[in-house]
This record gives sequence, C-alpha cells and structure tokens, in this order.
Amino acid sequence: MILPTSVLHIRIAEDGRKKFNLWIPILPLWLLVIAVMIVLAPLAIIAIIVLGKRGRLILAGPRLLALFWAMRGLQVRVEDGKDQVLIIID
Amino acid sequence: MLFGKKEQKTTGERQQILEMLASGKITVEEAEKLLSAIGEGSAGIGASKAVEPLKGIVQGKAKFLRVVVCEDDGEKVDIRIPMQLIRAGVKLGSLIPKGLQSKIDDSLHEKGMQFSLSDMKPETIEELIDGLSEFSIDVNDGGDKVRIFCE
Repeated sequence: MILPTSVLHIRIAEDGRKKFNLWIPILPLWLLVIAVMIVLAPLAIIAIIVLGKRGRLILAGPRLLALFWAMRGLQVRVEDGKDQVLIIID
Repeated sequence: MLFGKKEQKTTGERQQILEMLASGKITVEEAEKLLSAIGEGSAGIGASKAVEPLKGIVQGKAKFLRVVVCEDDGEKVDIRIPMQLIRAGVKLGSLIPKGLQSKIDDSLHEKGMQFSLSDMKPETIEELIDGLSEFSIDVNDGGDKVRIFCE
C-alpha cells in the first residue's frame, strides 16, 4: 500500500547557517485532488467507454497521483562546502 | 565437557561470521567461503545450508536507490530515490501508446542507449528490482567519486 506524501521539506543553509527552512504540508492538496477525481469519475467512465482503447490515457490521472505518492522518501541533498540544499518529500 | 577447545573456537567463529552476514558487513558468498574455510563442511552441515536462513534477511528487497557524487572540491550530491517511484513510473509509462513508445525507443537508440521502453512492463519490474538489491557501482576518478547502490 502506498501512503500519500504528506510533507515537503526544503532547507537551504549558507556558511553552515540555516537560511531557509520550509515545511509545506501537501496532504490537504491530495484530499482536494481525490475529491475532484471522485466528482469527475462518472465522466471518466463514460469517456473510457466512448473512446475505447484511446480512453486508456484517462487512467494516467490516477497513475500520476500514484507517482506523486510514491515520491515518499525521496531525498536530494547538495552540499558545496558549508552551503547545503536539502529537499525531502515525506 | 561436551565440546573440545577446537570445536568451541569453531562455533564462536561461525557465530561471528553469521553475525557479520546478518549485519550486512559481508555478502552471502563471502560468508559461505569463510564458513568453508573454518571447516564447517567437515562438521556435517554445509556452508550453504548454514547461511540459507539468513539469505532472506540479507537479500531483503531494496527500498531505495542511492546516487552519491563526491567531487574533489568538496561538492557533494546525494540522491535517494524510493523504489516505489520506479514502480509507479513504469506503470505510468505502460500507458504510453505503442506508436509513441517506438518513437522514444528510436530516439534512445540514436543517442546510443540500447534500451527499449516497450520492454519495461509492470509485470517484469519486480524481477528487475529484486535484481537491483545487490547492485552497486563505484567509480573513482582521482578525487571524484560516484557511487550508485541500493539500500
């Protein structure tokens, strides 16, 4: 089971000092996206039936959502001497 | 006394090797070699049999792909990519229409990459990820280092 990503953490440090430290809660965004997807689901089902094989691309929506959720644990750290940029998706 | 000094020493060494294997300090193959060297084979239990229960622990599924680049001037890049992201990427990629997939394959071949996107299927990705659990690349060029491994 993939748990949704909940926080985006960005930290920038210069000369060993924290210059920028941001925690962005992204869980509310997913709640909004899921609500929109539920509303659009009947339309998507009709589109898949009408378009046939080409309608497969509509599945890209939920899979794209799964891709963002799968980013949980992604970490990028760049250090140059005492300067540091850290991005964590958790 | 049930065991002689020699047997006690061998048991201690055997335990030490298995502990090193469990903590990931040595590989299954290395443990097998070491166990063979201390005469585990002559004791009736083969070295392979001795390490068998630990194989599952040591060769557990990798959760992250790590890319670490260290430059001579102190610059360092450390990226940790979750395996789930690779799985999700392949699933999303499988939705790309076949005509477009072949165009992407052609472009990759033109760039010298012998890789076919159409071969990447969600059904086969687990096999690939299992294979990656012992994958490791170390490149040293003077002071610059690149390390790609799974953890």
